[in-house]
Amino acid sequence: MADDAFTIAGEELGSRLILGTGGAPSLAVMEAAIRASGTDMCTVSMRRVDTTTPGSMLDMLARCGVRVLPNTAGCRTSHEAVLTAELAREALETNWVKLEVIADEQTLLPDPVELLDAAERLVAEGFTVLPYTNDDPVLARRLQQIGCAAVMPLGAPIGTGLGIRNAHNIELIVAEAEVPVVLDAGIGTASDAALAMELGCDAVLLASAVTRAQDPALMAAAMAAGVTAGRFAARAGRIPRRHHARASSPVHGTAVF
Amino acid sequence: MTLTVNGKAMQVPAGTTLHQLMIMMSVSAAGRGSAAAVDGVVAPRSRWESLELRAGQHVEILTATQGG
Repeated sequence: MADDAFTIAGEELGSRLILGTGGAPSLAVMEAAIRASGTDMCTVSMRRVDTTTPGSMLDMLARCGVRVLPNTAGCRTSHEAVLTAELAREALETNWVKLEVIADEQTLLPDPVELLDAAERLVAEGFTVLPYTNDDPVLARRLQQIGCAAVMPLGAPIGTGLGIRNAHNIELIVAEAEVPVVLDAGIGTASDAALAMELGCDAVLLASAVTRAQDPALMAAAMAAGVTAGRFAARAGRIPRRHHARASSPVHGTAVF
Repeated sequence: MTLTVNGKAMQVPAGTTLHQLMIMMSVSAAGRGSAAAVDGVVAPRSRWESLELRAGQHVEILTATQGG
C-alpha cells in the first residue's frame, strides 16, 4: 500500500486530496478541515486588497504546513487570467497556478478557447500550469500537448455537488493522460471522491463539498478516506461486471438430501 | 494627483511611489501575499520603492484570499 507517490511536475505531494479554501464560514473552521483532510496543498484566490478582512489566510496555511496553489478564479479572458497568474506569482513566490477561465456566471464552466490560449501563454512564461478544464478528452489532450503539468477535468459544475456526470469521459481522459489527472469540481460527498479515484484519476480537488458541509472537518476526513479507498480499489483491480450471479461458495461437494 | 486604485478614485500627493501607496492600503512591503499591477503590468516588489506613480494611472492591488 506504500510506495504510491503522487507527483506533479516532479514535486511529490503527500496527499491525493487537494483542498480549495473557498466557502468556509471562518478561518478556524477552514483550519480544522485542512488538518482533518491531511491535504498537502490548498488553493487560494487573488482578490483586491480589503483592509477589513480579518486574520491572514496565508499565516493559517503556513501553520498547517501546506503548499499554496493560487488560482485565477473569476477570470473570464485569457488576458485576465495571465495577469492574475503573474500577480499571484509575485505575491506568493510560486510559479504553480490553477488556471481557471470561466465562460459565464451561470454555469462557471471553463471557456475552452480562452483556457487554451492562457495555458499556452503561461507555459511559455515558465509557469507550472494546472488547468481546470471541461470533461472533454480532446481539450485535455490539447492542454497536455502544450505543456500543462496536469489536467483537472470537472466532474460537474463548481459548487453543484452533482458528482461525476460523465464518468466515461473521465475514463477517456485518464486513459490518454501522460500527466496527472485531478478531478476538480462537482464532488458532493465521499463516494464521489472514491469514484473519481476508481476511474483512475490521480487526485481530487474539492472545496464546497467540505467547506459548506454541516461539519466541514468531519466531511474533510470522509473525503480523505474516500480518496484513499478509491485509490486502493483502482490499484487492486475490481472484478469484472457479470450479467448473472456467480457463487462465491464452492459448487462441488454440495450435500444432496 | 488622482489615481484609480482597485477601481476607485484616490487622491495622493504628487510623486507618491508604489511602495508608499501600498502602505496607505495597509499592505506590508515585507510580507508575502500581495502584488500590484500598474496600468495592467505587474510591478515586481523590488521596484515598489523606486516606482513613482503618475496622475491617472490605474493600480490594482491584489492579495491572496479564500478560494476554490
